[in-house]
Amino acid sequence: MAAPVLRWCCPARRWILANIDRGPRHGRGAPTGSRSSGKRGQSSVAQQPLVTAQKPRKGEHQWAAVVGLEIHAQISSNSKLFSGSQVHFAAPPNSLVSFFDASLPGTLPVLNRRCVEAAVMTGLALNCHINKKSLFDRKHYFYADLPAGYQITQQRLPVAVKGSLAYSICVGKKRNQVINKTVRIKQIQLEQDSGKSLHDDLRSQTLIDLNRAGVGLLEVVLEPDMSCGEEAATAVRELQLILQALGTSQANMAEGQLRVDANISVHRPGEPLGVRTEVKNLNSARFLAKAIDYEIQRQIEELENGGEILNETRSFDYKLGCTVPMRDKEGKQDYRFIPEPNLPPLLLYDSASLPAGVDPQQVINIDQLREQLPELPSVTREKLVQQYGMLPEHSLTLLNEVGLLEFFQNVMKETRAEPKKVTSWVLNTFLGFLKQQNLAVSESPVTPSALAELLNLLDQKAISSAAAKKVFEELWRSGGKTPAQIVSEKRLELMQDQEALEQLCQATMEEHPQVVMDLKKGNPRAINKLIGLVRKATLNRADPTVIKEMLEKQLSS
Amino acid sequence: MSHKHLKLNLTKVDFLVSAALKQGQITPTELCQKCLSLIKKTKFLNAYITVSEEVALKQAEESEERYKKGHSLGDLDGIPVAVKDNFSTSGIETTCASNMLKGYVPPYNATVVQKLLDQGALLMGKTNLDEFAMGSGSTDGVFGPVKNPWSYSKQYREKRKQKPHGENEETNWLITGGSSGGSAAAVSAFTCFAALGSDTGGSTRNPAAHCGVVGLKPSYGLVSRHGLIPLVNSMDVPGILTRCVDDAATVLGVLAGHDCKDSTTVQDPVKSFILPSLTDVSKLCIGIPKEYLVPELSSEVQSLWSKAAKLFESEGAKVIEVSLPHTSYSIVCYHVLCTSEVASNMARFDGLEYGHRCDINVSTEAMYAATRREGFNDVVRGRILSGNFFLLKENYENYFIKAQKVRRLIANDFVNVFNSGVDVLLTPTTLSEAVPYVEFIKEDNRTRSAQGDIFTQAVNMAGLPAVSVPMALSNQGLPIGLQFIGRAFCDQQLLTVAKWFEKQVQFPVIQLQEIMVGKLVLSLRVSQLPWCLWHHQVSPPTEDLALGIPGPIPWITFGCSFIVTKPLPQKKVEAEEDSDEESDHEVSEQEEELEDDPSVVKDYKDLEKVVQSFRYDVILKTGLDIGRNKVEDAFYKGELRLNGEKLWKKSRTVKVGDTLDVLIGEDKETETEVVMRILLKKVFEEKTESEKYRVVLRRWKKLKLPKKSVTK
Repeated sequence: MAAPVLRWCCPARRWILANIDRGPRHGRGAPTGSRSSGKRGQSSVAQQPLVTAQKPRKGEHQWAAVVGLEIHAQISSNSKLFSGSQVHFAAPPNSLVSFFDASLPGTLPVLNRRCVEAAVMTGLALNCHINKKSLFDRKHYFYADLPAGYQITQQRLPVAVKGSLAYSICVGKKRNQVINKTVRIKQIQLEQDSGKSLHDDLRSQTLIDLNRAGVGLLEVVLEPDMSCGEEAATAVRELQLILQALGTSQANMAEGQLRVDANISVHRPGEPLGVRTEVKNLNSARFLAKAIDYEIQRQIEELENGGEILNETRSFDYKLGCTVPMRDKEGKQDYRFIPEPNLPPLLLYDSASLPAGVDPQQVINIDQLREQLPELPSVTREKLVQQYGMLPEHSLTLLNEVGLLEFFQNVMKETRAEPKKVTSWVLNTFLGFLKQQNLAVSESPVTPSALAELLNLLDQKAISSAAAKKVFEELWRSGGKTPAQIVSEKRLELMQDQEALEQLCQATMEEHPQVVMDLKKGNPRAINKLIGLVRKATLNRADPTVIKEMLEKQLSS
Repeated sequence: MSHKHLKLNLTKVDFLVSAALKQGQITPTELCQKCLSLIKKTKFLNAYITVSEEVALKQAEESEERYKKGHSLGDLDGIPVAVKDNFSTSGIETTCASNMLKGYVPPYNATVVQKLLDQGALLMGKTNLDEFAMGSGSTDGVFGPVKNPWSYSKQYREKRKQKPHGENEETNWLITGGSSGGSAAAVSAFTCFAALGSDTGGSTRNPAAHCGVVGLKPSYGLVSRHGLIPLVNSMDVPGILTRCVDDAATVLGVLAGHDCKDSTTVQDPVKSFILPSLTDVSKLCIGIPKEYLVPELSSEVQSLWSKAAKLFESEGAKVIEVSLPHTSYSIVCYHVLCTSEVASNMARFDGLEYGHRCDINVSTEAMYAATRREGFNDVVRGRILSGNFFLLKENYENYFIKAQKVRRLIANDFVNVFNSGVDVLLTPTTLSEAVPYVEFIKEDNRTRSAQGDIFTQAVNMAGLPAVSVPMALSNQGLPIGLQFIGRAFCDQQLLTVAKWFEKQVQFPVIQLQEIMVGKLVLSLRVSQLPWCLWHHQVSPPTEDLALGIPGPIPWITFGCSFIVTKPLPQKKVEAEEDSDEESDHEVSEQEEELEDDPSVVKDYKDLEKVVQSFRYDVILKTGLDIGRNKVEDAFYKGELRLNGEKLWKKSRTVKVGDTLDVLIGEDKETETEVVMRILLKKVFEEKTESEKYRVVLRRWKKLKLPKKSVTK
C-alpha cells in the first residue's frame, strides 16, 4: 500500500453555496465521535469519585456523581484537516470552501501534516500513548451542514490513547486549599468539523456555511473520573491552558474552538453506576459547571422521587439555567461506521523506527515533536512558586486568566518591588479592576510598565500605599499619563520634608488638646485619630508610620 | 491528405496515427473532424452522453499549432480520446448516467483527464455507462443502453443469416457489457483512439471483451482516482480501452504515477511502459486457475481458453494448473463490500451542494428523501439500502468484517500463486460472447452483475493488474476476449505477455461494411495500411473497410460515409440530425409509486431494522415519513386536517383510507391552497409503554385545491 501522504499548505479555493430550505430545529446527536464506553465498570475508575457536596437529608444515603467529558478542540492550523482551504473564524460565509469541503464527487481527502503534529503534541502533553499506526473511519449521518453525509473520524484506532490530565482545584472557605487531581484520558482522535446551519424560521429556510466544514478537530475523551461541575470546569480549563501553551488549538470557547459534551450519572456509593445522560454543546466553562451541577441535582431528585433516569441527550438552556431533553424523535442513530478507504493508515515513527532515507517532510517523528514541546502550565506554575515564593493558588490564578502571567512577568521585569507585592497588586488590585469592568487583560488601560513604575514609586516610599491606589485608579481612568505625572499633578507624593511634617504634627496636637488628653489618660488608640488628622492635613501624602513615630516622639518629649 | 508539416522521425510503432501526425500526413484538426463525423454517424450506438465537439476542435487547433512548430507534446498529441462520464471534466457536464447529476458541470478535471489533456489529447466527449457504473451491461443508465458495434458488423450479420432466425433484426442488437460500455463502443467504432473507463469489478475488461478491444485495469494505486466519481474506493481503478496492447501501454505511461491529490497512489517513481516485443516465451510460467472452469462457462470460450494455453505451451512457456481456492466466495464478498461503500459514497448526493434537487421544501429530510428518490435509479437505491444494512452495528461483524477477511483470503490466493513462480494468470474475461439486449434484460441487474463479473471481480479485490485481449470470433461472429492477470505493479510484464499473445492470435478487424441494420444502411470505408508501408510513406490504397486490427491502428479513409435512409426505430430521430440532443436523452418518467419495488432486497428478514435506521433512504421506499416532523408539527398546532376537516379533537381515531392534509402554502390571487395530502395505508399499534399508534403513511402528494374545498 501507499505510504500516507502528508500535505503541506495548498492555496485555498473558493466555492460558493446556495441557500437551502429550512432544516430541522431540533438538535442532533452528532458529531461527537465515539462515546466513552456505555458499560463503565467500576473497577475502571481509578479514583473513586468524590461524594458530592449535596447535603443529605434525614434518612437518606448520600449520592455520588460521576462525570465524563468529550471535548472537541479545533486545531489551530492554516488549512483544514483534509483540504487546502484556509481556516479562519468569522470569514464571509462559504469563502473558505474547497471542492473537497463541498463534497464534490471524485474529490479525495489528503491529510494535513500540521493537524497530525498537533494531535501528537497534545497526546504527548497529556501523557498519552501515541499509536504508531492509527486509522480513519467514516461516521454517517444526514445533516445539511455535513456535505459528504459522513464525518471522517478515528473510531477504531485513534492517534493517542491512555493519558492523564492533572489539575488542581481550590477548596476551603477562602479557597486557599489546593487539591491536586487527575483525570484519565481515554483517547485523542482526529476528526473533521461540520459546517454551520443558520435556521431562519421567519423565512422557513436554513442557511449553510461550510467555512468550518472540514476544519481539523481533536476529540479528547476524558474518563468519568470527575464528580461535579467545578471539577469538570477546572479540568477543561487546564486542558485549555495546555492546548494554548502547545499552540495546537486556540481553544477559545466563545468562538467555538472548544466545545464540551458531558456524560453524567449518579449512584449510591458502593452500588453500580447509574444510567447516564449526555449534555451536549456546552460552550463556556461557567455553563459547563452549571449544567453538570444542575443535571446531578436533577438526577438525584428524580431518583429520590422514585423516578428513572433515561439514557438521553440533553442540552443546557442557559437562560433558564437547566438542562432539557433534546428533541431527537428518531431515537438512537446508527452511524454505520466504515473504514475510510481513501486514506491509508496513518503511520508515525520515533527516532528508532524511522526508516532510512525517507523524505523528512513525509514522516512524523514523535521523538522530535517531544523535544519541541513547550513548557506546560504545570511546570510554569511550579517555577513561579519556586522563583517568587508564590502561593500555589496564586500561581493557579495567574495562569488561569488569559495574558495575566505575561502581564505579571512584564511588571516583574521593570520593577524592583518584592515579588509578593507585585503578585498582590496584580492579583488583587489589577485583576479586581478587570473583573469589575469585565475586561480581558489585553484590554486593560494600564500597561505593565505603568504598574511597574507605580510599584517602584511605592517601593521607594515616594508615595503611600493609599496614594498608590489613587494613582492606579487615575491610571485606569486616563490612560496615557505616567504614574509620576499623576503623582505630581495630584500632589500625591509623600512629604519628604521632615521639618514641615513635624510642624504639622505639632500644630495638630495643639489644635486638638482633647485628643492629646485622652491619649495621655491611657487610651493608646487615640493616637490613630491624631494620625488621621495629620494625614488629612498632608492630603494623604505622609506615611502613617512616620507620622506615628513623630507624634509619639513629640508626646514623650 | 495534407503534407503541410515537417516530417519527423518515426520513433514509435504503436501509435501509428501519432506517427502520421508527426509526419504531417494528417493534421489533428482533420483527425478530430473525422472522429466527430464518425461519432455522429454512429450516434445510434448511444456510446456518448456528451460530445464535446467545440472543445475537441479547439484542442485540435492548438495541437496543430504545436505540430507546425515541431513541438508536439508526445505520442498522444492530437489523438482523439473519450472519457467515461464518471470522470470529472472541468466545464463539461459529468452525469454518471444518473438523474442525480444531470446538468452537473464539475469545476475541475480528474487527474487522469488532466494528464491526457496535458499530453495534447483531444477530448471528444463523455461516454455512456450504467448509472454510477453499477452494472455489467451498460444498459442501466438514464440515457439508455449502449449498443455493441459488433451488432452491425459484417461478421455477425453473415453468421446470423445462415441461421433461421425469425426475430426482428432491429431489436436484436447486442449489449456492450459494462459498465464502461460507452468507452468500449467508442473505441471499437473508431470514434476515438483510446478511451478511459473505470474498473471496479471488471467494468473495463468486460465491455472490452464484448466489443473486441483491449481493456486494461492497472494495478490499484498506480493511477490516480482523483476526479473519478467513486463506486468502491478500495477497488476502483481508471481503466484504459484501446484497439491494441501497445496503445494501452502508451496511455498507461501517461496516466501512471503518484498524485498528491490521491493518497492511495504509490509514491515510487513510475518506470516507462514501453513494451518490448517478446520473441521467446520459454521462460514464462502461465497459471491456469482451475476454479475459473465454471459450469456456466460457454464451451466456445472454454475451448478458446485451452487453445490459448496450448499456444503458450507450444511456444515453450510453462503452463500449469493453479488453484485460487477462495474464488467462489468472491461474488458474495464483493456484494457486501461494494454495497457498503456505495451506501457511504452516495450519502453526499443530497441535493444541497450540486446535482438534482427536488421541488419539495417542507423539511430538509423530505427534500433529501425526494431528491434521492428522484435522482437514483432502482439499482443504486437497492445497493444503498443493502449496503446500509451491512453496516448496521449489529450486522457489521457478521457481514462487513467477514467480507473484509474473505477479501484478504482472495488476495492471498493470488499472492500464493505468484509466489509459486507463476508470472501471469490466463483466464476467460466473460462467460460468453455478448448477448442480445432482449436476452440480457431478462435477469435483474444484481444477477447480471454477479455473472458478468465472475472472472474479473477477484482481481479488484486483490488490486492486481489485468488486461482483456480479444482472441477470436465466436461461431456467431462475435469477439471473445481472454484475461491476463499479473503481479501487483508488474503492469509492464503483464502487457508484454498480452502483446505477444495479441500478435499470435491476430484477432480479426470489425467490418462495418454496407450492412443493413434494420432500415439503417451503413457503409464505412476504411483502409488499412500495412504498417511496413508507413516507413516508406506511401499513400495508402483506398479499400473497403478493414478496421481495428489489434496492433497497428488502421488508417481511416475519409471518403467513408454512413447512409441513413430512414429514421431509427428506437429513437424516432433522424440519425443525421445531430444537433437535437434533447430528444435522444428521453428518459422514462420516474414512477410515482413504489409499492413493490424490485430493488428492495427481499430476502433480508430484518428489513424492518433497515427501515428504522435509514430514515432518508427508507423514506424513499415506504413512502412514509415524508415529513413525519411536518405532520407532527401541524398536528400540535392544529393545522392538520383529517379528511378535509379541521382536526379539533386530538384523540380522534383514524382508519386506513383517511387522508391527512398539511397546509403548505396559499395563493391569494387564485384563492387556492397547496396542501400535502397523505393517505393512510396502514395503521398498527405499537405495544410500547406509552401505547402509541404507529401510522404508516404510504402515499402522499401535493395538491392545489380551491380554498373552499379545503376548509369545510
